[in-house]
Amino acid sequence: MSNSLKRIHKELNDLSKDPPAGCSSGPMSEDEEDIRNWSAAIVGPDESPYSGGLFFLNITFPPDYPFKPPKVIFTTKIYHPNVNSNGSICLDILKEQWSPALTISKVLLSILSLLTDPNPDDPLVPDIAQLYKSDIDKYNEKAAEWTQNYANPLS
Amino acid sequence: MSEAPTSTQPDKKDDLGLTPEEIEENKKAQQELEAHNEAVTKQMEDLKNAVRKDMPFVSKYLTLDEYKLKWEGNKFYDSFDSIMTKFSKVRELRRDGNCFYRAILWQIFEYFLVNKSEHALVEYDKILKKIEGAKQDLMDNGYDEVVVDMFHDQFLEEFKGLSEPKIDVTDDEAVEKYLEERLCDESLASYLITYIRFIISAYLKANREMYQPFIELDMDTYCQIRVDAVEQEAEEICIIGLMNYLDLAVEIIQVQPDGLAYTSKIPEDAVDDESRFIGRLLFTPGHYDSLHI
Repeated sequence: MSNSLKRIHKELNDLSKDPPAGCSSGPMSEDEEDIRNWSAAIVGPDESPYSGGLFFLNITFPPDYPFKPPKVIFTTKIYHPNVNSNGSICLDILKEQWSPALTISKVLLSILSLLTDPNPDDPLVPDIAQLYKSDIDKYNEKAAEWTQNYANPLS
Repeated sequence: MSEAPTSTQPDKKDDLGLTPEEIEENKKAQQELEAHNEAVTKQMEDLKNAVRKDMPFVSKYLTLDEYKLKWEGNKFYDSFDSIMTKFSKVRELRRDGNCFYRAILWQIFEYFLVNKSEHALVEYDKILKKIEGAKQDLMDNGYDEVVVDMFHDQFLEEFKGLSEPKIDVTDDEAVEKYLEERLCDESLASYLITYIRFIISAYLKANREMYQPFIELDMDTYCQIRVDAVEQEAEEICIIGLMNYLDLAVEIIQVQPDGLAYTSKIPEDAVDDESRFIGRLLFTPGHYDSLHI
């Protein structure tokens, strides 16, 4: 088995023993050939307008993981300045600040903290960032509304 | 795991008092920006790949005369004359952000592979002990076991391998091939180099009171984005960290625009009397190559 696959298995093993709070993740299928494609779910943090929502993500590990970052996208629609309508996430550690010392567990925790503390100064969706900066109440209202509409675990 | 909820088009109301045309325009501008960013990223990737194809990770020996020719017409050209009084050969390193790490690993591995003198064996054992304990040092400084394991095992295996090589270490070609197989193999070399990066970070974090004043970023961020990150060039503090952690010495010869060369040693008082390993690097602006006597 390649070192890259070994590392993915180790992370999987680690996550099943000690899952980080508020997230779950794992391969999409049991097929060994598909081990590089994972899905994850994160619970909207209480202290954010995403509270009460359940958000799904797709994770793809590149062949040269962990030397290249995993690709992570939201598959649930979310109203957030750093996530666009394709689900792409603007997060430094998924790009130029990636390091092989990071793990999927740390990535998911960073995404959770991005939900609590958006980064409007490096936006992927400028109009949402603008609203976040100019009228936070309206932004919270809108984000909660989208959470209710698109990330409702009961629907 | 259930399907993500299906969604309808979000209602794009004019929160900011924008007309539908303006919203459409913004959207278009954003898409153009994204396309542009993607194109730039691809261009940079292509450029990197072009550099890769042209240059081996570590070149065969060049004489300093041959190396000097590449600098013809440059203000550093005359510096090589003074370097030639002590050194005769250079191995060029690929400019991929790993030049320092690969060069120093090549020299360390070569030295302990070939040199079986008593003092070299003592020094080898000392470093081996240090590396055996490095896993704990890494975990004490914030690295997850799931991350450390493979890097540590791989490095330890290769370092142990130097003591009982299955090659004739008096055969220069066999030695060169042995080192190329480890340090010029994209996959294995990435593990060895990254491990070195991790132990530097762990050392700097463990001694943050001493090193924090020399860096602008906070130590954890610095280590993550400047040391651990793939293809980030080594700064002087990284070199100091590695040499201090492994208790090794290095001599860096730096070309000067006035045609002279400046030598610095880490540690400053390292004696170059063949009683210990001493790395020898040639620093030209932004890049390290490997120097040989």
